Amino acid sequence: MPVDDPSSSEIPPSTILVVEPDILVRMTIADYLRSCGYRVIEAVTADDVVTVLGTEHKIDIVLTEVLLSGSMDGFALAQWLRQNHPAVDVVLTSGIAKAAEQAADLCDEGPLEKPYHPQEVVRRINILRERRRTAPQA
Amino acid sequence: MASQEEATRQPAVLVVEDEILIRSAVAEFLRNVGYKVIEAADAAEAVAIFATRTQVDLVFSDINMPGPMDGLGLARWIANHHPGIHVILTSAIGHARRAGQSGADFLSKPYRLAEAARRIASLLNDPPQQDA
Repeated sequence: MPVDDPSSSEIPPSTILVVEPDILVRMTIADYLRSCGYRVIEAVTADDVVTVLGTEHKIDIVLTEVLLSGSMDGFALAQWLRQNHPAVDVVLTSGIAKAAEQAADLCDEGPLEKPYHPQEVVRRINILRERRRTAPQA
Repeated sequence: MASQEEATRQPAVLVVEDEILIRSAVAEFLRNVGYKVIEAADAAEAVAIFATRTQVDLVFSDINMPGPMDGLGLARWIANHHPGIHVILTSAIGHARRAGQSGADFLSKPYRLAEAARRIASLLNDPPQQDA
């Protein structure tokens, strides 16, 4: 869980596994959470989560989009985590605004002061999407 | 002012790898030695990142990835659309010659993370900021 004492240098940062199939949302949310002091692992599918949790990686929180491709959606993943890794907290999101809001909430509990308002995260994601939409076709 | 900002900004590496354990290990190692790292799970995600004009100085990509474009195709696409960006391709199979034909450097798997960082630093002519 997030560290309450930012002056402690011995406690490792909490690790969040971000599961998001949209690369621009995933990249932006992950950068935001890292700037708040979290260690972040980026995943695309529920199968990625299963793979990571099968290793020695200690995951504290899984922040996952509901709509995932592959063998499990976010709801099924949350259920699987409750059954197999009950110590891992699960945060479900659906859509950019909700993902940004949940990331902001995690940063509220994090060891560093907030760098962004959640609306700023949404604005940055929308800027990236607009750039992609208006970029010259390859 | 612009040249001073260019000189002090973190070099950005785009890591393209479909296997999450490899991608996260490489990305975390490179962040720890001072790079800004963007992660992509396949070539399509890498192309999407380029479309946003996100800063990318070097692409470190696996060759064998799912989807319509593999690492060799990605290297050719980058050479055509972003010729100033360095590319290092990795593979467990000997693809060194084909990597070179795509204008990319080649690092065979398995590789040590420190060797990957040294190869990146060499291409960027920018030593890592911290000890590995």
